[in-house]
Amino acid sequence: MSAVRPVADLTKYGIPGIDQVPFGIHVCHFYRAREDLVDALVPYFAAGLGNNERCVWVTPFSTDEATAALGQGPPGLGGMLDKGQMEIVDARSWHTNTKGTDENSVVQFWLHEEEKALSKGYQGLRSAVDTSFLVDEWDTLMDYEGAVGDAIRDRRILMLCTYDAHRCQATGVLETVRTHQHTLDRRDVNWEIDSLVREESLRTMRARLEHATQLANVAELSAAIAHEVNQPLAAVVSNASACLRWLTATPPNLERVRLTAERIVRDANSAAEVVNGVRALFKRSAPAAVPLNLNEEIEEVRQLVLEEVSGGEVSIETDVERDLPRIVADRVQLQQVLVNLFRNGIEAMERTVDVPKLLSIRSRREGKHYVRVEICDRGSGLQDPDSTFKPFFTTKKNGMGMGLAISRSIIEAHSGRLWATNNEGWGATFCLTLPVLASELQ
Amino acid sequence: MTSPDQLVMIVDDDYRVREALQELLRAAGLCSVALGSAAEYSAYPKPDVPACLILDVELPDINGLDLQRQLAEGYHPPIIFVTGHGDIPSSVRAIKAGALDFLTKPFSDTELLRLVHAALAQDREQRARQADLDHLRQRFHSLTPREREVLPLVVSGLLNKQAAAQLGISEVTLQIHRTNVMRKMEAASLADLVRMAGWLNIPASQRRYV
Repeated sequence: MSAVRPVADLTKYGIPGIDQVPFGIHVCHFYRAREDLVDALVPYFAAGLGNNERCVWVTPFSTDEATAALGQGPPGLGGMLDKGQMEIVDARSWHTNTKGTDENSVVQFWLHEEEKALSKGYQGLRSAVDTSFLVDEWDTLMDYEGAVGDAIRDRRILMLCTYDAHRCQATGVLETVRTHQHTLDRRDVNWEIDSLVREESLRTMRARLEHATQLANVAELSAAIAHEVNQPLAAVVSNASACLRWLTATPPNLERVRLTAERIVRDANSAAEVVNGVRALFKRSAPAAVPLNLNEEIEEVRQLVLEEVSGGEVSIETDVERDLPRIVADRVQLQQVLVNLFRNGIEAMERTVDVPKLLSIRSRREGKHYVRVEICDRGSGLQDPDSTFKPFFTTKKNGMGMGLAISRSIIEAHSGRLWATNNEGWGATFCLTLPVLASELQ
Repeated sequence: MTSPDQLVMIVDDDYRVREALQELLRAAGLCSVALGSAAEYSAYPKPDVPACLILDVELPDINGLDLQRQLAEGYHPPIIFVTGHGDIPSSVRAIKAGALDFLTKPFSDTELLRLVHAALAQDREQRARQADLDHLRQRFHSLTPREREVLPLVVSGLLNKQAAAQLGISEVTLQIHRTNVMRKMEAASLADLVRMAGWLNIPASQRRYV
């Protein structure tokens, strides 16, 4: 047993945009590029060294690269390495060494490290652990993550688990978010930890937009969720059928009836858990209607989508009406719709030849009460413009057919309309209207 | 448990689904075994009884459709595919490659049991045919080398005289070989023998020149 220790003590997290955090938090971060990781971890460890904490970085880089990366940080960071306050371990050998050991011994290792650090007079243990070499043994990894989160809760440990976003599947992301207390996200210059430290001033445009694009990837995510829910559901249906058969057998086999009924409860609960996990993931998207300038939203989305297609032959042209009256909408949701429509337009032109791949966006005031946006592509057009909005309608190989259905329900929830028509010549146009903000009607 | 007279094999990576399917089959009076991956299926010592395979498309090691392709090289029980999301291209692929059906989870118990019974019946028939063929092969192997030379000539429709000339033996000797072939092959008539030769893939070695 360790001595009674001060808990719920705050320390500086170091990562820009995030102020102080309590010890004992277990955070995950999905990085898309090496720079993301370096940008987060250099100030993270600098803060730890500043607060006289022992620091351990289980890094996906070679130890030389990691040392060099830290060397870009504030002076003194490199020196801490020599003093032994900071340790760099390369993730590959770390995982080879811990391989085969059960999750509890790895958890014990961290607890032991903390005790050692405290006994040497450090303020606590700050670690960042990269999981890249463990994703192939996903279940083991999740067992560990689940156990470590519980174990460090009352300890002077900060645990940041870094995941290479390219190596995680959508279901994996869901599970990871579930096994960690918090998720660290990059928001342009600043960063954000969900449900922990939020300064309204730090919530940049970009932050919301990034989340919007995550949401716009509805097709991939919904397929993953559908699968996760479907498995226990299939088990429930088969168990229920078996249960009925045992009941109607002569004589009824009540022992099997009880067993199957118990399994039905268990599996139905696990389906519900998945749904709750999804809800937790989307909790930031709670509708918040604010006055918005549609032209600004269009421009933001255009920039974002252009980044995605950079290098391709697609161009996006905008023709927006100046002095467009503002509308009122949930920004995240509106951007989700726009991203979805832009991407659809671009995908529709994938097989276009002969004519330039041009996506034209137009905004206009429509009558007194509405603003209208048109997204016009030069693709092959729609076979039946109306049925494209039906749920599960898709012409894409990997689509679930939910994107447009969700988009329409969002626009309708904002008292607007979303529809599609075929152009004369080539392609299709998606139009949406939204009501003008009441105060702009004078 | 005594060895069953028929067996349903379930390959699915989700234990909840395996458990539920086994329960359903058990309630319907069917014996089953549940396996968690393609590798487990391959390693499982399959009893020599009519069987069928309920195969999940999304397996941890290899895709169910790929397993089907591997199995296609040898004898395998009829396959019923189940999948979490039934996409059309995969189901077409599976059916074309000989799967009995392609069910999307969750599926109805009556539909599954109907298919399982159909699959077991199909395997029973396939096995009976295989057994007949094995028996026929045994009979063919009981022929002497000379008799095996005589058989293709006879089923080609050559006259005794022509066949004897081919082999450089007398017509009487040929007649004796021919009688032995008919008896050992348990052929009731020449037509019967021709049919057997067809099953055994023995080509008619000679065309008859008239």
